[in-house]
Amino acid sequence: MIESGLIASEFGDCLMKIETGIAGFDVVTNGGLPAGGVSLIEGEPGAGKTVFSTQFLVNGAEQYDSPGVFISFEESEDEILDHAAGFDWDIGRHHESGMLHTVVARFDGDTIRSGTFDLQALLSIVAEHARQSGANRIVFDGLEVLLSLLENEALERLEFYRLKDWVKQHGFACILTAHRLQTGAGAESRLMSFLPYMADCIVHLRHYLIDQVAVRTLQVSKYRGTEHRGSVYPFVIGSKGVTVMQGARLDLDDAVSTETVSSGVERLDAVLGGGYMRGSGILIAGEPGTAKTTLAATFADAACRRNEKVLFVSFDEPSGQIVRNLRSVGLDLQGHVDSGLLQFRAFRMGQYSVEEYLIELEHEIERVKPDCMVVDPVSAIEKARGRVFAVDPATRVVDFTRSRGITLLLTSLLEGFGDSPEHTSAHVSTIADTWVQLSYQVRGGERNRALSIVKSRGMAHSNQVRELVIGNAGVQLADVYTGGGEVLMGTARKEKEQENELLEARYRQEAAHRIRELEESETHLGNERDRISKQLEIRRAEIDALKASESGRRASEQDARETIFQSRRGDARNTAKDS
Amino acid sequence: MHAQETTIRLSLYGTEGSRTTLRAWTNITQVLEALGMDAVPVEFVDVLHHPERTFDDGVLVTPTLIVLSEDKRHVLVGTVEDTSILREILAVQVMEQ
Repeated sequence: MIESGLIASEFGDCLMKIETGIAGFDVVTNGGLPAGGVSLIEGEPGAGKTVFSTQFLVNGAEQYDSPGVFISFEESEDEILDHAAGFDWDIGRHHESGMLHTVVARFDGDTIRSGTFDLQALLSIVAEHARQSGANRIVFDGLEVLLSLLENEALERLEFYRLKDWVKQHGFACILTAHRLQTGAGAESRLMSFLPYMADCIVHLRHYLIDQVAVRTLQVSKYRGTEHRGSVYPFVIGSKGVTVMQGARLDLDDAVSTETVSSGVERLDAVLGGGYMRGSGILIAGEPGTAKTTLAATFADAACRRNEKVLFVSFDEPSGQIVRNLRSVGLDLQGHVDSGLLQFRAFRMGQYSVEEYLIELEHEIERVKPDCMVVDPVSAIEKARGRVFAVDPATRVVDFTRSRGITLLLTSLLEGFGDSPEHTSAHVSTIADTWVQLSYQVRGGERNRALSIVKSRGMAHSNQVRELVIGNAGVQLADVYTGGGEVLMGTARKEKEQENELLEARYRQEAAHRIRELEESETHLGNERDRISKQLEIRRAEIDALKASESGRRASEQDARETIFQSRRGDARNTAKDS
Repeated sequence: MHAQETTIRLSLYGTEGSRTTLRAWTNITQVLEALGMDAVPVEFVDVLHHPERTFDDGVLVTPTLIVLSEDKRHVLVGTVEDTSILREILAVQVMEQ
C-alpha cells in the first residue's frame, strides 16, 4: 500500500474542515469542506460544478499554499486549463509549479471492456500525485462517467465506498461532481439514487431563469456531524469564480464610532446634530427631482475634501453626466476624480440580477476600499429582476459596508408624490442609521423642496422641516420662518423674509431718529450746563470780590478808630462799645 | 507456427490478492492455454506499488490487460469475462507475425 504521507494521522476520525476560499461558501458551511470526507457537488450541466471545483483547488494553491489534484473524466488537460484560463486565476503557473496536478481519466476509444473492474489503479495514481506534491485537495470531476461503465448498482456502490475509505484514510478533502438527478432511468439516475446517502456533504447547484434573468443558487443540503446553514443561497460566477451570497451576518458586533463626518452642508450638519456618524448607513429618500443625487454628491465632495476615498455607484447615469450636471449647482467633482479619491461605477439597469449587482458592488468595495460610499439609488437594485433571496438587498449592502467601517449613503427613489414615510422601503429605513426625507411641498401654486430628519441614531437631531434650496453655490437649508402653524417655504418664505426686512429697517430708522433727538438734546443740555457754570463762576467771583471789599472797608474803619482813640486817650472799650 | 516464438507481451495491472485481479488472471491464462500460448509470460504490475508506471501506461482501473505486439496495443479493462475478445486479439496478433 502506498504511504501518502498526508494528513490522515493528523485528522483521524475527528471532523475537520478545509477552507475552500470561495467567498461566502466557508461561512455557509461554517468552515469549508470536510477533511477526510467526500463532498458531492451536484447540478445540471452549466450549473457551475467544474468552476466551483477548480476554484477550490486554485484557492488552495493561491491562498493556503495547499496543492491539489484535479481528475477529469470528461475533459482533456488542455481543455481543463483553457477553460480555467478564462478566470482571473493563474492556473497555468500553479500547474507548472506542481501546485495543481491534473489527471485525465478517459479511456482511449479502442479500449475494450469485459467484466467488472475497480478504481484501485486510479486511486493509486492520485495518491502518488498527492504524496509527491503534498496535496490534500482532490477533485473527481465527472466520476459517474467511469462508474457508470460498471452497469451494476451494487458494484458502483462498492467502488464509491472504496473511494470513501481511501479519502478518509488519507484525510483528503475530496469533491465529487455529479450531474443532477434526472427523472427516468439511466446510469446517472442510478448513481444519484445512492450517492447522496453516502456522501458526507452535499452541495446542490442550480441554474434557472426568474423574470427572464439567469439566476444561480447553492444549497448545502447535508453535512454530516457539523453545523451548517441549509438555506438556499444565490451565487454568481464572475471573473474570480464563484461568490456565494451568504446573506446578512448573524453577529452584529461591529466597532462603532462616535466621530461625525460632514454632510457637506453646514446647516444640515447642524440639523443632524453634528453630521453623519462615521461608519453608519444613511438613507436619503425622496421623489424624483428632490435633490437626492445633489445631496449625495455634496457628501462625496466633503469626504474627498477630507482626503478620504469615495466610491460612487450610479444606475443608468454615466459618471461624466453626473459630474457635468453637478457643475450647474457649484459642485465640481472632476478634481476628485482626477486625483483618484472619487471613483465612479455606473451600472445599466436590467444588466444583472439582484444578486449579481450585490456581488459586483462587493467586488468594487474590495477593490476600491473606500472610506465613504454612495449608491444612487439603491432602489434600482431592489427593483432588479431575478431576486431569490429573502434578505433585502439594501440591508446586505449596509451590512457589508458597516462591517468595514465605511460610511454609506443610499438614495432611494420614492414612487409617486407625497412625503409619507410609507413610500420608503421598510427594510432600508429600518436598517439605516440616519434617514433624511426629501419631499415637495406645494403651497400657493408652487412646489418647493423640503427636508426633514426622520431619524438619526445617537444624534440630537432637529425635528423641524426645512426648505432645501439649490443654487449656484450648491445646496443650502433656508432660514426657518413659520406662519399659520407651518414652516413657510418658497415665495411665502421670501415674502416673510421681505416683511421682516422692512420691519427691521423701520425699527432701525426709528431708533436712529430717536438717537439723533437724544443726542441733540444732550448737546443742548450740555451747552446750557456750560453757560450756567460760567454764570456760577461769575457770581462766585462777585461774591468773593464783595467779601474782600467789605473786609477792607472794615479794617480801614478800625484803623481810623484806633488813631482817634490814641489821640484822645479815651476808653478803647467804651469807644468800641459806642461804635 | 509456434506461439512461443511470437513477440507478444501481456501486462496485467491489478492488485495482489484482489478478487477481480485473480479472476482476470485466471481467464487470461485459460485463453493462453487454449491457444497453446501458455509459454507467453504475463507480467503482473501491482498498481499499488507502481503508480507512476500505471499512470504512464494510461491505466485507470484494475484489472487492466495490455496486449503489446510490435506496433499494436490492445487494452482490455475488467475481468475478461468474455474470453472470445482476448482470443481474437491474440489470434490476430499471432497470424500477423
